[in-house]
Amino acid sequence: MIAVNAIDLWKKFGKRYVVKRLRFKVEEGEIYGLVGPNGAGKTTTLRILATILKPDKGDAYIFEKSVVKDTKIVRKIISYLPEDVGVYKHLTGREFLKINGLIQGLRDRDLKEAIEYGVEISGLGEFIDAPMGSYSKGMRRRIMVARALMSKSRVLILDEPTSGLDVEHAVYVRRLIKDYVKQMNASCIMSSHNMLEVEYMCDRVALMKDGAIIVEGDPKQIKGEYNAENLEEVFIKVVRK
Amino acid sequence: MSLRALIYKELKELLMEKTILIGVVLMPLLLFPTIGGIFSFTMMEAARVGEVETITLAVNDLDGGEYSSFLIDKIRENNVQVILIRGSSNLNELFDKGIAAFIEFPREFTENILAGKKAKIYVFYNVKTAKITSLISISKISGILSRAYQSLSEKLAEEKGIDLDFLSKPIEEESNTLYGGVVLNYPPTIIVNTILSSVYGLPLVALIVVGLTATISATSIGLEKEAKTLEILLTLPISRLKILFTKMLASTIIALIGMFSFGVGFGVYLILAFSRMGSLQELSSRSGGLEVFSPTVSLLPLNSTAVIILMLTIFIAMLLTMSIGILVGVLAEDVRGSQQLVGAATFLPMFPAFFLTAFINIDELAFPVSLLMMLNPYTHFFKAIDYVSTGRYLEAVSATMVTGLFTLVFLIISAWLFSGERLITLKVSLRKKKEIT
Repeated sequence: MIAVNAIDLWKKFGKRYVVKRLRFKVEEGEIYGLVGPNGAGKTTTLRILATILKPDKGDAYIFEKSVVKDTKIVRKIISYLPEDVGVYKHLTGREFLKINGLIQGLRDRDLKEAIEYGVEISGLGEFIDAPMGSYSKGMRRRIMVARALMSKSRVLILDEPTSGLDVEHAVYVRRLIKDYVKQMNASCIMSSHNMLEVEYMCDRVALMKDGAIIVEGDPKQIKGEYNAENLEEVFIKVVRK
Repeated sequence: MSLRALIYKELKELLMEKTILIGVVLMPLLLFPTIGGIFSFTMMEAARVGEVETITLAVNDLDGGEYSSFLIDKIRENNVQVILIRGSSNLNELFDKGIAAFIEFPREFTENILAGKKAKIYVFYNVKTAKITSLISISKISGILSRAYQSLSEKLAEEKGIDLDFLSKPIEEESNTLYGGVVLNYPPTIIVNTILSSVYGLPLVALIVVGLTATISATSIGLEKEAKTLEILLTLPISRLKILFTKMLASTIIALIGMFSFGVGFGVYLILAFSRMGSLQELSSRSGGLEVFSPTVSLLPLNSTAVIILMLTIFIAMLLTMSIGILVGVLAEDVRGSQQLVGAATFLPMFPAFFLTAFINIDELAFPVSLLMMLNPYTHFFKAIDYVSTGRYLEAVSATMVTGLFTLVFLIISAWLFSGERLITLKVSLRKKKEIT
């Protein structure tokens, strides 16, 4: 089943189109990566899918529900993680997970289980009851990823999930996302500057430049087509063309 | 449940924020009693010094006549040490020796009085520092001299067989004031002063506290925008209006806590500051001198209808200020932007409305100016207070309703902006934009 279906998305700020002619599909159980330099349109695309922004033209569907017309239903299916998101510094990690669960409509046993799951995957141990303002950057990212995963959403929309993290935390977060998608048969669309990370994590990738997709496919297949050792090399070759 | 969770989040984040906790809740509780305590101590010390201190005056009597001697004797009767000086002397040297004032009677002093002319006297006061104790000392000397002059007047009147008391004040006026349809047995100056201080003072102070809370509400949105936590909230299955409502509610609660804390702190200040005022005034009046402080006038009794309308008016103005804060938070790019904008957006319209409504009749202004003032939502708030203070309750309610309409308009605009993508894309700032590279 198709989890995400973007059909001819266009979005402009002022007179400049930051997303144009965007078409892609993400299958159920698949991790799909958007890769490209700053200003390529990755974050805008993810914000459209997360129902924060509306496309000027075209539409996208999350399990056949329009991100423009069916926002309420879409918000129950997705979990969005913005890039470099901060924390509520006076709430503890556990309080944050509980509030998030309540807003997502979880109650009683479901809520308790979701919080326990969130606490477990965050790996924060006793720090889960400390105010989040005292967390390191890596710990903040872990609690945010745990929040995104705790309600067992069918579609994850993750903007640069490991940006700015040290190796240890980045490896932890990558593994968490991969395991989640596999276990829940969920779908994930993520953006990243790090092409090596995308190559490791994603089943399919889309290289973006100036708001449009310039190459799309299985990382291995793309590397083969362009006779390149990695995606970075592919990107350079495509841009030079 | 989700609403309660959001309100909990908002309140905890706001109340645990040091700047809010200290600025809105603790500061009024600590600052006002501290100022009151210091004020009380100063008053007490000033009164003690004034009571204990013996005044020494230097007098150069060039006249040596009957009336100059009479005045010197009268001055001496007030427990004042008088040092008589002959010939010229250096003022600085005299004052360095602790002389409080130097008085000189010219040669023709008695002669002039006998001839029915005004006689001159030269007084030089020694002011070492501009402090309350100096003011008390000056007031005391001035009082002693005034009473000595009065005694001389009485002596002259007696010599000439004149009823001085009658001549100096042949008419006795009993001042009454018709205010709000009621005759009050006070002079109009007291009534107007009381209304200005009691009816306008409290709401102005309340608005300053609320103005601070508008900064808080704007900051709470600015913080969430900057930290991108707002983006997460917007993708959760909860309506944006609910998010906006919880932010408004939390800010209102903080404002009420702030007002309560302000009320308690200010009450303690008044008790401490004015408990010592009596002794100082007593000292001042005993010396017959100038009034050092104006007496505090007791508040006019307001009936329950007036109090209810006044509280409603203040509450609506609080909501108005809050809605402006929310609107600014929605428009601004980040925390700094919202803090810069909110001051301009609230205090700029608030103060002209206050001063113009308090000091002039807006209806009598030229049309473009009065129209401009009518478009200022705070004008209607202060007009409502004006109406309450004059007992025009229906007009007060109408003006409050206009303030409420302005609030509604701001809330609708905020809600409209909040429910669209402009919430994320709008980046209004007073700062110069950096060029994006």
